[in-house]
Amino acid sequence: MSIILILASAGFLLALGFLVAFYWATKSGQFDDTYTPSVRILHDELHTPEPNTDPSHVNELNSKSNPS
Amino acid sequence: MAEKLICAHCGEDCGKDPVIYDGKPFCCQGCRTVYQLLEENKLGQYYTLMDIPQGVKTDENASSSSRYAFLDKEEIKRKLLEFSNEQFSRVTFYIPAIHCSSCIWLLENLHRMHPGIVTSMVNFNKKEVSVVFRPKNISLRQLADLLDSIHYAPEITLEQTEGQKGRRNSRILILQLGVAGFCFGNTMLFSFPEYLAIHEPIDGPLHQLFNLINLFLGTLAMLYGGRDYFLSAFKNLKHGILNLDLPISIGMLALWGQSTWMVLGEGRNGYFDSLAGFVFLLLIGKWYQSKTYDALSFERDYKAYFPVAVTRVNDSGVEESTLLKEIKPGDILRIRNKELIPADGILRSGVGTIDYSFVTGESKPVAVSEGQAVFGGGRQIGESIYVEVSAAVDESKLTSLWNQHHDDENEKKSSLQPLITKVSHYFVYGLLSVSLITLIFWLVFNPSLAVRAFVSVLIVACPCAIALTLPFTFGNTRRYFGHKGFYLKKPEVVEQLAHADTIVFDKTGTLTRPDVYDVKYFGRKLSEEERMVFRSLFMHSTHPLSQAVYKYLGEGDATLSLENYRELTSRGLLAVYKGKRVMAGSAEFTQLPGFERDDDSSPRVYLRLGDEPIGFFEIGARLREGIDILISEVAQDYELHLISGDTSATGLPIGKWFAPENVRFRLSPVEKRDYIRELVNRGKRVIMIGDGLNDAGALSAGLAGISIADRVYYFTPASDAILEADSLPILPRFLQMSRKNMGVVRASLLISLIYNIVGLSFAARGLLSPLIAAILMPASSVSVVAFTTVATSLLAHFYLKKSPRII
Repeated sequence: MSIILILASAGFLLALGFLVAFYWATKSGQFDDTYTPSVRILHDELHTPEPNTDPSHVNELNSKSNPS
Repeated sequence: MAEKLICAHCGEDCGKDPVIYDGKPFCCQGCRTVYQLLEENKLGQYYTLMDIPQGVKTDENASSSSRYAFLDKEEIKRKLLEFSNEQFSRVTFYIPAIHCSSCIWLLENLHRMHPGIVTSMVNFNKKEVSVVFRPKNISLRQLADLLDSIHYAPEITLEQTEGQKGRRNSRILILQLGVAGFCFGNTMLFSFPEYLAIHEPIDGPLHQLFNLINLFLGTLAMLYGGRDYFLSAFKNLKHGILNLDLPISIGMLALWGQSTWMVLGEGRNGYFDSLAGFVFLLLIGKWYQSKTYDALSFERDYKAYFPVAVTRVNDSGVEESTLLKEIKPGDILRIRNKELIPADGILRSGVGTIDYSFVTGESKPVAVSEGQAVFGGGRQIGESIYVEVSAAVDESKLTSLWNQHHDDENEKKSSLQPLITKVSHYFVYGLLSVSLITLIFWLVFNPSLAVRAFVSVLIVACPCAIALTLPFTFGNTRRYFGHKGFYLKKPEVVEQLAHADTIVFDKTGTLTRPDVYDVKYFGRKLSEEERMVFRSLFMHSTHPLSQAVYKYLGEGDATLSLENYRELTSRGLLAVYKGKRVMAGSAEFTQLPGFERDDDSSPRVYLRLGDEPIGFFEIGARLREGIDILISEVAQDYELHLISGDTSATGLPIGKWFAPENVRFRLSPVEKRDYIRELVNRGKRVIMIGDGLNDAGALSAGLAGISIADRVYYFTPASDAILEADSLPILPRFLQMSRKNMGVVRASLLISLIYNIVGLSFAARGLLSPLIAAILMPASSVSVVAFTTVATSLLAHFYLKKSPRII
């Protein structure tokens, strides 16, 4: 019967992991706008060179400006 | 007639003089500039994303080079910027023009138009764009100007600069929903042995472990997910109000207590799966109910209508952009064409032609000469004027009317008790008496069963199904209304609409269109040359009547050059053509005795060429399309009233539609509100339909206020619902469907009542088995949700699908 014990606790821990992931996703604003990303993904990338984006700074900024 | 040319940018008709650029036609220079700008930045893909070009056209009224000058002010910047350091800043603009996927694409490629912009992100539902930019390379004002130049003008209002509204409330509900769902699913998993009645291999410690996990999950679901129900029940109880949250809380606590006792005391499985599922379903209902139209505002007061900053002339005669709230009495303001006068004052120089239609409902502009008073809320038409402010913005005569609004809210609430309040009242008393009778009965006859039966009654009678009825019925209906251009502030508005028996219409802007006139010509036939002469005369005038006549005469494309052109405010136009005086204007001005004025008050424009009277134009308001059908449909079921700030309404078949005693003219905004209040006091349930700030008081005084808007994302006064002007003809369908909704609600309440009676009959006898509880409780909720959703969908299909939306 110990196999059930292991399986059950592993399953429960896995589910808890998902709960934590859900908490993070909500807090980081992924559910604030549920429409725009569905449109955004259909747009093709432009193939001309990007003039000025420095991704490292942007990420830093986004994380700073999202309190909570 | 030539084939219609469609503008390659905005998709509108190009009219007579298309601007040709790059082999493509454009309706105006503005659209051509945007096209050129996008092409230069290799953003031409904008036009290929949609089948029909559907760019946006800028609001011609608003454009001016210094429109965003106030964004250079440190104080404003600090309030608007969400984040700022030396390198980067972030700002979120509300842009009502966002309407399609091309908009998203273009606005998210802003960084290609200016190197100072790092990224931009659109929230389509809120019609917002968040821009991260380098303040060293591009200032906030330049950013706003850039957006304006591509016809996505950000709308920045006073409200926004007075602090951002919290947007994190919805996150908490989503979290609660997720946690409750998680608990629900997992308790079911750990209750599986119980469902399948497997006892043999897992009895003992393992079983008890499962039960303990369920205890933990159920407690979590109740405390976190059901938190708001406890708080609300407690708060209401303190004020002596019994609402539905009380039996919900009692039910949850009883279920939890019973289950905890079973797990800890008896080593048996509890009802935690039911508890978590119950919380989950309740939260789904709440979430469904809380879905709002993010981009629409139902709370706007005059502040949203006013600009953030105005042009002030300082002591040394230099013009500067100044925040509205810094305006003091004694300041001199420059008001340009079509700008708003922000505060009461005195006209110091210039010729005032002031349109107060939005504040008072009076459609004719008022002429003001130097030294006379002007009032905040009016819009100057014509050349720039200079106004000396005599009272602060908050104290201006017209705007002060709107500050009283909040008092009305409470009065209105009491005027109609929602069905659900009545039902929950009966429910709470019924539940308490049944449970007490059960307790006493068993205490007398079989004390060992007493507590169990008592708790069972509380558990089973939990009004989950009742609590779900309204969110799903009204929420679903509201969704269907939204598809057809009728946006309700809250789902409960459906009930208010259903109970109404009287409809009060505003005239200007509601029954009639605010921008289009019916022009009729009376007099001798004009020769082609004469027509061109008068057309050229009217061309330069910004007065609305001149513009209406100009459009009426606008068939030919050539204009003639006139000499000595002069515009005399509120009197008329004057010029010389081939040595003859050309005059157009009021009867007194043109001195035309041949055309005596009767009492008819439709405005007229008289024409005179040399000494010869030619004729006159009569300019009447034009009804919105489908009004006659609308009126005849609602006239059967409702008492109709008409109130207007205008002096009269010639040309409208008012007498046919409204009983003479129900028509009022020359009403000030306050009188409009009092008129509605009087109707309410006479026991009428009033829906007020209006459009402008002048109706705002009346809109909030009745049972429900509906504001009509041609462009719903721009200004609408505070109201319970916003109706797109194009959907006005199908208003009767909306009202019929609201009334049928009450039937759905009653049927749904009946269903849950039957479930309750069945459940109680078991519970009161002390026979509630886990099996019955596990079946009955989810079954009642699910069947109520299914019934209301299907029923409202059928209603929507019946009432709304067959009426094609007029676009």
